[in-house]
Amino acid sequence: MMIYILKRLLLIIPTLIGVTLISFILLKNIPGDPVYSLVGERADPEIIKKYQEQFGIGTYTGYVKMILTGNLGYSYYTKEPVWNTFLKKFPNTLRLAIAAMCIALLGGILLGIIASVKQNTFIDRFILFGTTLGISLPVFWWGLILIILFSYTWRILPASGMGRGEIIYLVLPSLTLGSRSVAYLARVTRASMLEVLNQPYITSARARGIGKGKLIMKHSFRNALIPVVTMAALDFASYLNGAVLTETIFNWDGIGRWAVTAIFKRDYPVILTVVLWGAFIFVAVNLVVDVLYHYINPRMRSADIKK
Amino acid sequence: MKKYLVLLLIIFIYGCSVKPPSKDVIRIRLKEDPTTLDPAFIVDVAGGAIAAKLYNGLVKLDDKCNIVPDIAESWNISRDGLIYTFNLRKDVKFSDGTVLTADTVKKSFERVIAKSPRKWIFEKVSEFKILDNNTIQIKLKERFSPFISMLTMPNAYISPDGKKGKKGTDLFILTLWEHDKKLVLESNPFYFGSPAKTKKIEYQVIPEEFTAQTEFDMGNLDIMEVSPIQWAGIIKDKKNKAKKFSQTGLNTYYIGFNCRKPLFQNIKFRQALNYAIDRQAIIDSVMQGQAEPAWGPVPPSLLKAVASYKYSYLPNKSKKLLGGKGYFLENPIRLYVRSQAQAIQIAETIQYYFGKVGIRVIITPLEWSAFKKAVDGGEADMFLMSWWGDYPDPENFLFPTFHSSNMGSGGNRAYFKNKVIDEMIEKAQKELDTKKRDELYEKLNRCLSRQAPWLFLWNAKELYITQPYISGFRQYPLYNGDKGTEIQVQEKKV
Repeated sequence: MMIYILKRLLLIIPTLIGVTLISFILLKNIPGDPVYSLVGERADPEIIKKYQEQFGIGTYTGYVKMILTGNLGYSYYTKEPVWNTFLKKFPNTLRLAIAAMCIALLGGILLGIIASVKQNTFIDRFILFGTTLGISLPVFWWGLILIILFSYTWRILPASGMGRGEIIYLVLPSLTLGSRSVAYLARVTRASMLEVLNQPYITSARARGIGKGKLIMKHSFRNALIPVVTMAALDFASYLNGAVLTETIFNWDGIGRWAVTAIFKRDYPVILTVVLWGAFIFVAVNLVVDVLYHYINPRMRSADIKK
Repeated sequence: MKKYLVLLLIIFIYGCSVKPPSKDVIRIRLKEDPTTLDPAFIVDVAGGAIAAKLYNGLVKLDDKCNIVPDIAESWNISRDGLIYTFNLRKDVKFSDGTVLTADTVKKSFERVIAKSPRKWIFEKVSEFKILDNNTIQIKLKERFSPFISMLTMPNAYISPDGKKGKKGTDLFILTLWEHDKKLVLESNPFYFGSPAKTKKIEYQVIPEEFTAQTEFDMGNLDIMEVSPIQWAGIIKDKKNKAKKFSQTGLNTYYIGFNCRKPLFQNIKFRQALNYAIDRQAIIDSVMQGQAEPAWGPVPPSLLKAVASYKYSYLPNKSKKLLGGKGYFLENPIRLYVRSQAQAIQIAETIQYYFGKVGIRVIITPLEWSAFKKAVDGGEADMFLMSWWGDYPDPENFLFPTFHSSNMGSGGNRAYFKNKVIDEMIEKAQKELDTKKRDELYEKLNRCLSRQAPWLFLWNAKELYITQPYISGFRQYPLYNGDKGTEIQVQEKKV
């Protein structure tokens, strides 16, 4: 197990090198230049040149050197170290991600189990319909509808911002962000539960007179969990990268909104940091998921020992 | 379990209690985080509007664009127009208690010359001379009449070290700046004049239009600028109690013709395009009626008499100028625009009108900085842009935009070159007599209108809404006119 984890950890290095290289090449080649927003109108070519030297994207080796020394550069606009800003904004993204994940897991799994147990009934159809809707609706549309209903019409929830960190500000953004995951997880849970419920061992368990609740939760659900965990983890990883649309609509001061403004302003150090972070999170979450499999699924554990 | 539920409920209800608007704070929406609040480096409107409340210049503008005293209580311009002597107030202190002297002013200006991308403000200066603690003399290399007007720009605010807005002399001090989130300004105890009517101004950075509108409707914002489409919606909504403000700003929207390209070297071709579009129709549709059609580069409010040369919608005259029934082009003309909804809409209507006189147009939308780079570099055939005044002098709409020394990033993106126009601009810059200068500017505006290096579109209105309980809000022709003196929360919201 330890060797497996170590191997996977080593694999992070080439992945990150690949990601930084690609993002670096892309940034170097996209049209646009931060200098034009910094110098304003009537700047003479000499000043533009001076600024271009100061705010250039540099070379790849220079960039790698910076990362290795733990220096991610300074924002062209705020002139603050990118890392400090990241540390300020990440907790906001984390809070939103956790809240959305809680909603997604609770809602998704519950709906999925209910649908599978009540297969082919009205409830099942209703849930299927709802989840289809949830998957097809764009997140921003869903967010706008929630704002219009809960904030504008009924005035019971704040429309945007983070207040002073009160939970109430978290409700709408996390509902919006979690909505799609709820739908996906419900479908995956349902499908994988149905597969398990049709296995012979469930029939025999039923024959042995095991209670319905125990049958579903202990005997079926645990075995149906693997695809659910994979899905949920990948969603969680993408939330941790910053939910661009949700954060923008709700004016949530997180990584996603930060990244978008940085892209528009061509704030290269910020963009590179966010991309690097995104790659890191996906690699890390994948690793965690693989390790989790070993605990959820004993079959995989034995397979590993044989190796 | 029950206990936790009750606890959750309490938290929920506590969070729900919406705080009523405080009497002492004005909440203003910002579209984006200001780039900087160091006067020397401010180039954006958001930064300039906030800096106007933190710093003072030697002179400032009133709401009719007259130049009035600020730090300088009086000034004197020598007869040859070369020596400006400013007598400074003796009671000006920075927010840390240090006293402002002539030396501070000199250092502040020298810092701009050394570091700022806007060092052109002091381009004509040969010397700053300190006569005594409260008198400074600025000597110019040559006569330059717009100079005093330029001194009202945010970059000429007095700040010896920048310090991100923390050390100014004006009504407010910056007490908090959370990037991309909010800025808080609180009244400055060291301010030399009578204090502002509000104790605090809070700027909230909300990029999304929809979000900002909802927050305003819910009473969480007091003042915000709105787009023409939002404006139209508010007007239609009879229940909306917001106070509405609309005023034509110092701007000119235009389509620049790249005069370096052979096609646009033909003056008749440029004029023909000016006759080819129905300005009022585009204003009524795309701009929701919130603009005034323009026929020359200088906004009419800066001129004593309005230009007589007028481009009405005359498609037949346009076709005639193009030489008969229509114009045959081997390749369509490329119109560069910023990739933003309104700009693309405008470009599409232009495309339609040009099509009607037989000219094919391809629209090339680009992201802002890429767009600017392409246009500055002279790559575009035509480009949709707007020019906004920095100081209230017609020169601001003539010298940077049409003088041949400013081609490209200097502002003359049409790469327009005309010796006569160059000479006239220089003459107007050096003319000290106001009346003669006004005449020169009018003549220039007329000539340029006829020369048509641009397709002149319109002067857009700036639109604001405030909550009904806000009083003292006023629109200024320039973004840095509002010092925040009069705005206040008058009565409590019901």
